[in-house]
Amino acid sequence: MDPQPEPVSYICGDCGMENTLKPGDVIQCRECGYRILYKKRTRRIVQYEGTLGDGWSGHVIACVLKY
Amino acid sequence: MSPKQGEEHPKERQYGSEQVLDKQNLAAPLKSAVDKFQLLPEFLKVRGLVKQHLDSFNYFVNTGIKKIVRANDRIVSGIDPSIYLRFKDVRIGQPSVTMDGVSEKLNPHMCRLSDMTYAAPILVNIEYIQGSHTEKTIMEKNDVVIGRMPIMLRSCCCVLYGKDEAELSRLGECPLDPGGYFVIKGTEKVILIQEQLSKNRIIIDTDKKGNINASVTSSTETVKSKTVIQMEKEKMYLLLNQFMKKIPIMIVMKAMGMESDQEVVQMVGRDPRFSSLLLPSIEECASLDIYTQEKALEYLEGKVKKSTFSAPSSDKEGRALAILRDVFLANVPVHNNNFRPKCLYVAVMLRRMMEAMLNKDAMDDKDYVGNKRLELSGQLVSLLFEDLFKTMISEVKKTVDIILSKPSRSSRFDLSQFIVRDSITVGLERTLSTGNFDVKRFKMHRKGMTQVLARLSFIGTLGHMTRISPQFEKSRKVSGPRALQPSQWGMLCPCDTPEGEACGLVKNLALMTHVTTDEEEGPLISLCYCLGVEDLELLSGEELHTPTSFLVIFNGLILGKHRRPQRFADALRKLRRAGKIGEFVSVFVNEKQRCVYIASDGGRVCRPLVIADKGVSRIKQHHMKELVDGVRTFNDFLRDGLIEYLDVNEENNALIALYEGEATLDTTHIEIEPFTILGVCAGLIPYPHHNQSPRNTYQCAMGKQAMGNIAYNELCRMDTLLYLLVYPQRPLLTTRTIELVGYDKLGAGQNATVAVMSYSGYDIEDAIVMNKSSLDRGFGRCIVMKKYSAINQKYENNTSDRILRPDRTGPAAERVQILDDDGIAAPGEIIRPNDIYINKESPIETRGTMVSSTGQSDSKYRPTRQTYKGPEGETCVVDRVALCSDKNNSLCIKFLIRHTRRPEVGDKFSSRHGQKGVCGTIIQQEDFPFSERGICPDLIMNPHGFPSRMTVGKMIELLGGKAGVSCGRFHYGSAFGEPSGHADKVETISETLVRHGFSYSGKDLIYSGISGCPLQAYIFMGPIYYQKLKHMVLDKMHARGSGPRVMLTRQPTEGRARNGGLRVGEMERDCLIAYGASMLIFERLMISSDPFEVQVCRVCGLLGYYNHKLKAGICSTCKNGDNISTMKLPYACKLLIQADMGSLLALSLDTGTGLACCTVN
Repeated sequence: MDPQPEPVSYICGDCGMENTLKPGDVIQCRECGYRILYKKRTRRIVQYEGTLGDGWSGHVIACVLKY
Repeated sequence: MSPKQGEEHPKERQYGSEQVLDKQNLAAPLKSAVDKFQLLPEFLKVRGLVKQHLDSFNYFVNTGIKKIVRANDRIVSGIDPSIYLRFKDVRIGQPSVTMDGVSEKLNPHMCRLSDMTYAAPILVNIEYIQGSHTEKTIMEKNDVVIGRMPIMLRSCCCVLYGKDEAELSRLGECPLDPGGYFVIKGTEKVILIQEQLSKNRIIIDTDKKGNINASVTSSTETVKSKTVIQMEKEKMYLLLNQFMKKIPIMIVMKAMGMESDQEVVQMVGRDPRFSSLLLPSIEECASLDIYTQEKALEYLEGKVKKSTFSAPSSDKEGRALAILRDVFLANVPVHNNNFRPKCLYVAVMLRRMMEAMLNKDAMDDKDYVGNKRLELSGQLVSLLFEDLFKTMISEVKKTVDIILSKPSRSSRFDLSQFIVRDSITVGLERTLSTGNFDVKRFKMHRKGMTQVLARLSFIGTLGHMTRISPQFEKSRKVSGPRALQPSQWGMLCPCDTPEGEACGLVKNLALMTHVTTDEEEGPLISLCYCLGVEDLELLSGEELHTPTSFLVIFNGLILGKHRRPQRFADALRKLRRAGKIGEFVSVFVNEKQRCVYIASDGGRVCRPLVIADKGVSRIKQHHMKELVDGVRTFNDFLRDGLIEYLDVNEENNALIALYEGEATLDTTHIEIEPFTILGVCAGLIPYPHHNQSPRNTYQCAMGKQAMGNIAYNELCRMDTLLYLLVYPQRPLLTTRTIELVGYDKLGAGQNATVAVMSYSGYDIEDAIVMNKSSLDRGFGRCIVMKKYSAINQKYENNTSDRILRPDRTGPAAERVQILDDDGIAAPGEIIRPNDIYINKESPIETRGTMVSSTGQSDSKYRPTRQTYKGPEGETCVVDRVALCSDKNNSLCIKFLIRHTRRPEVGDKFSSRHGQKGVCGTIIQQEDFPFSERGICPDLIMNPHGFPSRMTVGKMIELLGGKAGVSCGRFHYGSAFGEPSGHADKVETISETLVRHGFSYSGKDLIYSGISGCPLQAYIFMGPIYYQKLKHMVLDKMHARGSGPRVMLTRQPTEGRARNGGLRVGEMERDCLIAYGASMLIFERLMISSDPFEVQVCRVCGLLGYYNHKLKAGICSTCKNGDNISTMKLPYACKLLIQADMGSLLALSLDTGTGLACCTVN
């Protein structure tokens, strides 16, 4: 069993307060009672590709790197 | 000389008469054109773009619902009549929802996000009897909830009502959103405007056989009926649903107490031509030997349809009389069995018919807009509510009666507890979400009344709100209803209609059109009498049609006659302009029919016009200045009698000048702006008056598919599918309409520099060549957002789905990378096909005995994780993940997945002139042509697009756009705008171009990008606003080698979504047969489809089977394997043979000849 992970927190759609939820909880902000919560953005590093669509992308990125 | 003199003579006379006129002109005040354009934004400010919907709903909420409740205000027990409940008052509360006993306020955006219905409680004040038998006390209760009413956004009940921009954005709402729709279970629903023939009016037309009909569709609060009087073989008959046969009209007259033929003739009019037309009918009545009322009623009694349920009162007075009183011409009221108004009404109908016989011009035109009424959401919701309210009352009555009839009751009887709430709430919600209006009480069964609001583009949304759906079924082959009606000028957009089957039937409102709501009749009627209308009751038949008087008809009801109709009409109009009677009351003097029509009913289309006195506009410069300074509003213009609303009928009494300068002495009104005859969608087109008309129609359809900004809150929304443009621009060449509706704030396109030339051969058939570097810079780049949702379901045995922490080491580790520890994908992660976005498990056992919700072992669950299926090789990103609870209080998770796309070959683009084309090829900027200044086009359009399409407007747009970028000013191209300065003239545009060093013609010297040589011709080049349409190759591209098959037939599946095959259809097959490519047919239709090996018996020709033990085919009919042949068949064919056997048809195959023969066993 891996170590207990820290609980995932959610952001209230109204006041922006962070909430943690357990299974079976009512979806509601503890602060303002708003009923829509959003997940937080990932903390992992994400590298988006430049969608130039073909072999050119490498070329362009190389150009950018040069300067 | 002499002929010249002859010519000159009349000329001189003309001059003479003009001189007389000249004197008058000199005396007239000086005309100066006042720029009335400022009125328009002011008008739209007070009105909004969807006022018709809002007004209609407001009317229902404020007046209509009260009327309905007042008409059915009592629930009286059938057992004990002294036990009753009375509704004293009704009102709609604040939009709110009750959750766990707590009432919470709602706002529309919240409802959209969490799939709720935006509804407000219907509150009633009641008075009722508590207790029964001996102790009865009258109790009162206020604000009892009887149900929840879905609320139209921006109506007076909505929380958005009267809010300013800042407040709206705080509520998550777009300030430019027009409202006028409902939010039902999270989806936005529009009730389309329904077009109908006007109610309670006499309409004369011919039927298929060429008989003249006068029909009245009566509609009162209680009865809806259709009465037709038909002229057949010179005799007139009544057609009514309740009678089995058609009834001679004279018998009906006699049955209503009009026994004297002479009086009938007098009432119709003493013109001998009318009498001779009436004679056959009178003779027929006489030949039936009917002279008295009793005889006539007796005759009618025999013709009444025998219905299963007859009213109890019918025995006393006879059903015929009851039908004549209540159903026949139900809109004419009968008080104390006084049938005289009805007789006179019939007489007027007969007269109109006979006039139509003598003069075909008197026939009514069903397609005439004045004969139409638009039914709006308020009316439809009101109908629905009335039905549900009545149903609720009868339900309550039933339960109360059941309880009262029980001999012993324990608790104290409280009537107010029996009010059911759910039936109204559920009924309204269901009808609005399905769109199936099924109101039995009013015999209304209509489907598709509501639609999901189109949120493809902002203009699409607006266009959806102004759409009018037709009354006719689309299959009718007559062209009349589809044709453009002259009377729809200014009311309905002449351009905006779909192509294809609904062409001309589905219409759209013009920019300034308003649809009226009902107005109270009582005060208007008494006003008419005060203004000198002679009461119908006091008139003899002879007096009805005297040559000096006009009949006064109010909302289809004959009030009486007036001797000075013009004066009467003028007086009413003056009162209207003074604001003493409603601004939408219409007064129409029909000289031909010798009638004055006054209308105050709802559903008429009307539009504002500037009033002119003797051709001089009442709006002066100082009025406009006050308007600009903000001291005066549009309503002040109305109140001061400078502007008034005219409906289609009243327009016939007006002489409307297009421009102030064109007004003559007879002019009564002046148009505010000519471009308002177009609707919202057509208003986007620059210079539409220079285009061939179908091109404008095409653009109206395409503007709704263009990608762009949807609303200010577009990134907060959670629509199932959302198309957005990454860098939308406002058009360089705008129109006034664009500014008025807010298209400049929520654009759907980009200004592309277009070179009109041929390049590369990949530009045939309207394809466009695109510049690769422009695409890199972001031209045409769009975002597609798709919603995927998952519900954490609860089951009846107290188990529920569970979302698990992903196992990052197991076999599916590759696919769970984007999940957080809560088992839900995290926003910002790149999602690829087959990635799991929610790691969910469902219990295997969902029914039966209750299980404790926790502590279920893992073996009791099976994985039901959801995987993303998107285009292969594309990177999509999880944009947002929202959690909310749905109506069953189970967790609902919504994922919004974003995909940014750059244009590729095959994506569809269009200018604003109905010129659509796909991207044919994408070429490096290095190879693109360029001008001396180094300007390189974004796209190249083939010049062959112009000659046959005749879209001159597009050329002017290019010129104007080019001038616009060079001088730094937006140019205008409003429809018909050149005289009033709302469209720049080509001449001035050319001057600007020359001033900035361009050719006046918009053509440039261009160098070839490939060779560097100057091109032989000058190239027409400049910016044109291009829209990217939602049709993209990525969503359509499809190919398959082998793949899934349908279980039943073993043939390849159908459709892209199922990775289906491409069908060689009948017509393709026919081609192959004709060509003689038999092997190809064989290969396509069997080998590549559903080949199957069967064992056929050569003796009986039936199918056998293959015995694997004996390794031989055996015929089950002959019970041996001696004469078995193995052959290949399409599996579908084998299926057919076996299915036929099931129905006792033996299809036997002859292996020798290759024939199949069928025998019946």
